[in-house]
Amino acid sequence: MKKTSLFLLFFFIGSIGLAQDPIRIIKTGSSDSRFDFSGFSTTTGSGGDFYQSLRKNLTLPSMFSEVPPSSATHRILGDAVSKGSKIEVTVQVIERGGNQRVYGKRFTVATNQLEGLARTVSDEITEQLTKRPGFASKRIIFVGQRSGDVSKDIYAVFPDGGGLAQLTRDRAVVLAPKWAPDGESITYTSFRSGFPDIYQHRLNPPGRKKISSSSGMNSGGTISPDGRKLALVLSKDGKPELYVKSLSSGTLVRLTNTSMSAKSSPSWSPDGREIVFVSGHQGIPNLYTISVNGGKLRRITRGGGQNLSPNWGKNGLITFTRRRGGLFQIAVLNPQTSDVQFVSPQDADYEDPSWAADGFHIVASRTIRGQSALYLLDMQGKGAKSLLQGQGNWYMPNFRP
Amino acid sequence: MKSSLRILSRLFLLSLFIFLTACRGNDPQDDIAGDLDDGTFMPLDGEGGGWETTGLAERGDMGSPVDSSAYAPVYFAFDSYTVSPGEVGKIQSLSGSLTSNSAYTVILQGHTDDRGSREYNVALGERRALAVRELLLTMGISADRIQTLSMGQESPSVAGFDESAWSLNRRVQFQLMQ
Repeated sequence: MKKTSLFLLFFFIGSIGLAQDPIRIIKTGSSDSRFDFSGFSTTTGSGGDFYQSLRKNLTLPSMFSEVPPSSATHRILGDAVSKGSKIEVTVQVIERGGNQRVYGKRFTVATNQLEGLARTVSDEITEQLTKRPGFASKRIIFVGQRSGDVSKDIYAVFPDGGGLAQLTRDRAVVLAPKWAPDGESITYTSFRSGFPDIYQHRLNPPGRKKISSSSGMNSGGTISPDGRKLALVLSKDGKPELYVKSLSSGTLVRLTNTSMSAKSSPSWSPDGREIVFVSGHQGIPNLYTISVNGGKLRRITRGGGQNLSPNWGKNGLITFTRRRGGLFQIAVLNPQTSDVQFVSPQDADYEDPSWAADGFHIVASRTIRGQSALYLLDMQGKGAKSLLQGQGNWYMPNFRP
Repeated sequence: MKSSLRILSRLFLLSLFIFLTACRGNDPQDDIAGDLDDGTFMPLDGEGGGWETTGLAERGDMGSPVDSSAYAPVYFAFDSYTVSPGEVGKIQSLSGSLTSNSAYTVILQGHTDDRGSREYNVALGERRALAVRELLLTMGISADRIQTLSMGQESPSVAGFDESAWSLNRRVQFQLMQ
């Protein structure tokens, strides 16, 4: 944690003092490790699935680079060998030079578990080398609309683009799926009853319940870090306002009372004491924070066009969508200093960002002429990598915490 | 006395809406693109100084849909949730039907074009439906006969990526129920 804040401090000092090249500082704070994969002996057959998946996850943008042995900082050694109906996987990471082993494990798994194992190992190696949590095994939930189908449902995919799964089969408009902080359930707004209501959907064992169905609009439902409360936007009192609802007692507290205006997209601060949300009560939509006990609104975005869909990360930074130069772009805001940094390329509209567990990568949707796909971005802002594209529209992603 | 004050204040707000709508003119604002609030022109309220509003009635059993195809949708200008003077007649016609058919209730379905955040657009569509609702209330229709339903940008009436499509999608439709 201390390291993370130090790293963030460097980032913001860097972005002010070295406006030309803040990126170098981030990179120093992240990972300069370069991997030589040639020492992993099983690269084909069913055991090869492990190798391919591990390599794919470790070399996602701004993770680690793959290089020839001569310029590597670390060698990946190991194999995946059949043992009866199972596969025995051995993985080692050796630091070049000192020949120190920084990671070494052996697993025995079924063939259909190899990709999942590769994601777990990728996360463990990442944590070992960067001291930040990995996100390879964190599922991204999102809204999907398959090509040629008008209906929408919630899907999930891993950040490497694998493991695509469909979670709901409502064939109804659905919006803004959000993971609960414990990763056990998700909340979303569904029109399956005809009206926008908020549901909580438990994954295992599967089940769901309607947790808000007031008259008018129920939207933006998102569960607090302690798992006890739901932040949401309701119009039941005649105008859209921000509320907090106790998940156990159902007690509802209204936090805002502004002029008639659209409000949306609440997101909790990491300590659960504040909520950031979108409101148009002073004109174009801006981001505001408010204490969970109510009180004064604090406007945290200035200038620029529309400011939308905030996601407050455990790193203390808020990623959000800002319209700039006619395009929707992904930005990162430090709520303490109000510094804003853009992290998406300017080749398309990018919207609805969500932090990965490492507090460095961001998933967002990218839209061109009504076609949306999921992309992985990062704080280096050098590019965007497609995670899921084609065969439909995929949008409103949310990373498992 | 109190209720006449309320009506007076609503009439004032209505005229303010119309005045502000007329004031908008063609004032291109670089950053204010997309289907947005025009709250820039609304009074900036102090903390806790919200407007008085009438809460929505319980949804309850709304009965069955009545053919409402004869009622034209209320259209909204780019970047606006205010009901323009030219559209008020459509709401008066709805108000007349509700007055003469006491068994009717209405669902006001708010919609936006497909620019901007999907989630914020649901709130914007709701706000448009609530703006129509406010006018129905000033016309004497009881709050318990009106429900709002925002679909945001999810249910366009016309496909397309230009103003001719967008202008038809920024609307509030009436669905009478009995």
